[in-house]
Amino acid sequence: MINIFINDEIEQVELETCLYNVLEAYASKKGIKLAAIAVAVNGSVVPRATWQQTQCQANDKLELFSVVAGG
Amino acid sequence: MVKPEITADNSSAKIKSSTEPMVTTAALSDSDFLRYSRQVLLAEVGEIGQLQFANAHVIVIGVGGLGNLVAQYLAAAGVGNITLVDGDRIEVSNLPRQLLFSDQDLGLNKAQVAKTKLSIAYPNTQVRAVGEHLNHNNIQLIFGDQGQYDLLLDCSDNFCTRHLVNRTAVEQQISLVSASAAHFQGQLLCVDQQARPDSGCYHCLFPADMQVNQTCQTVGILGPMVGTLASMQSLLALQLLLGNTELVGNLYRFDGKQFSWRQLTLMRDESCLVCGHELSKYECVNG
Repeated sequence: MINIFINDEIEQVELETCLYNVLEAYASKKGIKLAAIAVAVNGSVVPRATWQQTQCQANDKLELFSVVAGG
Repeated sequence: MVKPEITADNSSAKIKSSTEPMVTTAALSDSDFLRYSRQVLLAEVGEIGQLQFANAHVIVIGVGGLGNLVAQYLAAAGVGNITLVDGDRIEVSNLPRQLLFSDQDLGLNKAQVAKTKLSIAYPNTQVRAVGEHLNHNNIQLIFGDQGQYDLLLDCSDNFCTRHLVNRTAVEQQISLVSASAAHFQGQLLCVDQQARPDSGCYHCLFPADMQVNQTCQTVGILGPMVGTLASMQSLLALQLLLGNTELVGNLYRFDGKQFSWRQLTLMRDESCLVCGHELSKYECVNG
């Protein structure tokens, strides 16, 4: 297991878990819809299309946010 | 379809592509030098920068909370040409945050009223109003040939329009500054396919099939919240008109409860349907 941070809260995930699986598990736990999430890892946005090819590393800092469309 | 009120502008010479520094040919008048003296005083602006503002043409999509203030700031700063696009009519619930409008304007078109008021307050700026929403049918009429506008500002209030604006920016090769606000959350980003192709576009960040939870109509907003984003969007726009592209490729997120800003680096999605190599049709599912 490795420690990562999701929105400043520590989470434990299996080694070599892909970002998609981390987000899917987190969204399920928090009752968030995966389709409503965008994510940045260590300050860089990770496009949704590459979530499954992106592996989480120890101490990664994930920032989850949703689109704001009003104006 | 009602033909938008938009005319060719022969008074402002075309000055630059989205990434090239502007070339100016005139000089500031004495009265303009005095009017804009606090801006000209800045080393980053100077007389040349002020002339760049005067020669610029900025198009603003949406004249609601963001567009009201953005248009006012840009006109006040001396931006010479502003095109406003909005098909909405003014409602009483707009007045707490759309500060150009008052009770006497209820029921009138936002773009037209804003044009009238800005033209009186800022005679140096030529304001055009397109009194209908941006859509697939009027894009060609509004944007015409590539290179008409120096900057595209997304001040719209819904996800589908934001995607249409983004696609237009990519196809027209215009720098896009997109701001949004709802509840106590705000987002500001700038993308430019020429200056920073590695940053991708709005669709790379928020794909069209993404689920949207927040709009001002459903979650509410305070006037100064949208004003904060409008001020930042205006500042970013002026920086770009001066040729400063350092801020391109970033997403800024503002939390109006915690008073915190977070900055993220945008990344291109190589498979993006909009800015990827193969443009293809997509559907916005949030309409």
